[in-house]
Amino acid sequence: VISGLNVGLSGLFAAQRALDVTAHNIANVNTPGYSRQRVEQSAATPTTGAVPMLGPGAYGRGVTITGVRQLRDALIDARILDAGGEQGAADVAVDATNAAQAVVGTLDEGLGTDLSAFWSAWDELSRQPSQLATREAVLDAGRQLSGTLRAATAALDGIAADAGAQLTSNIAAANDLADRIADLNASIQAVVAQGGQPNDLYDQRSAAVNELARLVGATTRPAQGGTIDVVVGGGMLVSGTSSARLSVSGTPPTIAWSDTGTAADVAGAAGALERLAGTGLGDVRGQLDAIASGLRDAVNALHTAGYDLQGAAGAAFFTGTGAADFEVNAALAAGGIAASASGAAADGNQAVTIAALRTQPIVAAGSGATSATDAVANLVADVGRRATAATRAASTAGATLDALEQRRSETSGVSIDEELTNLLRFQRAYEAAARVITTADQMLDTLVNRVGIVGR
Amino acid sequence: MRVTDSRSYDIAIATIQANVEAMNRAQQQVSSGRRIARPADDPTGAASVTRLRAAISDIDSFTRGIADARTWLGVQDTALQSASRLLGRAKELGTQAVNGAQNASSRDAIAVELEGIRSQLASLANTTQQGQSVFGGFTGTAVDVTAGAATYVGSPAGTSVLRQVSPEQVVSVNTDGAQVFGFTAGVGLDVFATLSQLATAVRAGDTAAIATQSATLDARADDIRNALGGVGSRTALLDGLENALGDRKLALTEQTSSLEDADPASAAIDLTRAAQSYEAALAAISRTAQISLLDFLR
Repeated sequence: VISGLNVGLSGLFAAQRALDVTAHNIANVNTPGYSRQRVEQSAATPTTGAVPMLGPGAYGRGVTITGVRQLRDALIDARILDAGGEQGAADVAVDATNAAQAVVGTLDEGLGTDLSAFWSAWDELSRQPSQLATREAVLDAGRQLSGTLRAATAALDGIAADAGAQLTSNIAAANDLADRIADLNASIQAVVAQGGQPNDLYDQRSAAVNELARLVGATTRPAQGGTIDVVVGGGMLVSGTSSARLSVSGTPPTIAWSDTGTAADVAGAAGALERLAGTGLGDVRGQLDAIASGLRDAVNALHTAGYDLQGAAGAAFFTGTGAADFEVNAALAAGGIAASASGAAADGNQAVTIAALRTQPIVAAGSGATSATDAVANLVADVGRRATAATRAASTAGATLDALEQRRSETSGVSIDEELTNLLRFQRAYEAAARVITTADQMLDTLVNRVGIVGR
Repeated sequence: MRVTDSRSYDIAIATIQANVEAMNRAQQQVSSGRRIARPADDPTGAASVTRLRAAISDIDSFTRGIADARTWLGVQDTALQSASRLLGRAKELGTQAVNGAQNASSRDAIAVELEGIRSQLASLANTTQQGQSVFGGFTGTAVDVTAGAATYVGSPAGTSVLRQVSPEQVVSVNTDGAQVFGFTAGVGLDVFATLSQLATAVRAGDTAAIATQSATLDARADDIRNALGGVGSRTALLDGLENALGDRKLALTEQTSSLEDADPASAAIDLTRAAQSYEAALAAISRTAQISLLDFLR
């Protein structure tokens, strides 16, 4: 009967623990990265001694709790790490390529319309070559066009500069996360050494690793005493309870290991930002430079072959070495525009020749050359394609991550309905165990107070 | 499949987001009327639109060039028609002068009229368009008659005042005055010298000289008719080009519109569909989010 009391007590304890764990699950229903926990219980080791009327070992001693287990799938966790890194990189690319579209402006206002206006201004000048107003209009159109090209390169520089700044803050965040993972490793190691099961620390650590993977791309491998090592860019960022540091330096910024100074080939958002700050949009810039140089060379060649309003040979129309410093010659006044092919003030034939450049292949492209308008159209198509490709890659990465999160939640997520049902289950178990104790108590009462009182 | 609460809320939020995004995009298309707002909306289409818009802008510029060229040629046409009439009259006067019924005073009257024709012709030869001589190339005047004998003072022979009038064509809008008025035919054979000499011959009653000068006048009248023909054929060319450019612009504009403009009907239907799908998502979420085992436990 006494053992019946003990069995009831073990049941009470087990139900109580199970209720606690259920409550913990419900409390963490919205905690990101939380894996639901479950009390593992098994029947207690039976008695080995002889039991009256039964053989040895045939008599149970209640229930014991063998542990609180987390429900998680290590394989999916690892794949979520990979997908997180890809998503981090893809998001960076989407932001950058969307911003890069500003380079060509809108279809209503931008490089294309400025270029058309420039040629039209030369047409107009060819019709009224001695008018200062039409000459000023050519200068204005040239300034507008060169200003747009300069603004476009400035926009690209801005994207690269922003990427550099963001890279620095991303690497700082990655270093913080590495420290945090090392600290968690230490805490976990201490608990595991005492035979404990630090479930919630595991969750915190894997949340930190996920965040780290998104920033710099990371893989993990289990190490001793419940700790993990984190591998980033081919090196160990976290090794047990110690963490290394990454640093950003130079122009364009590059990521290196702080201790050795060797370059770290990181993935994730930081990897994408490093590329962007470096040569990421280099070929868009190259196309802008080609347009600027092509216009400069072709227009200048014809302009210097012509004669201005005073009959003097024309000076350079455009100055600059590329798109970044592309400008209308600051020394050029309205009267200095060489519209005349013969030297006569009323002659606009050179302006006709210059305006005819609009269809001529003056911009180097690949091994050949295209007209300036085609070069701008190609640039429009190029930045547009980059933006659509980046968006598509990001949505693929997002969908992959989403599918993995779905699978993770199928294993590890908390369902309130399920926990509520468990609450009922364990409550009933608790009530039943309590009833066992009551019954044992009544039996003892019978034994103590009612036995041996015959004839009293 | 095991469904969890946090996940179903995440999905609900993502669904709402996706629907709002689709609705916004549809709404933007309807309100702006544009299918392509940024290059990313259709990279190839945006590139085509860039090319088409450049072509349309060029056509607008060429059309202005045609209008200008037409003005130039119109001015010349008028001047040359008048010149042709004047030469016809001079020829008539030359014929009258050899008529036996003429006396000294009537011949003098004819000579005076011939001199008047000469000075009218000089002013026609110096016709300008916006201060630029249409028969002189790049100068303000083509013929100088102030010093008695007329001299050609325009730009050298072969000078063309050019106008771009189509992507491929550049036309010359001036007419070489030296040729038209006979300065290239030889010394003393230009139309002004001929008229002077004719007047002198008429005054003198020199029938042989009148006949010689009248023959020269015929050659000059042919020159002017030839020039008129040249002006007329260039005007006809411009008319043809203008029609062709107009047709081309219409075609390009339609092409641009089909690429960059949203079809109003389908854009409106897209918006309605997006709004409906958004409503459906909201309704589904509000319905499922309310169901919980908690409602049934007491």
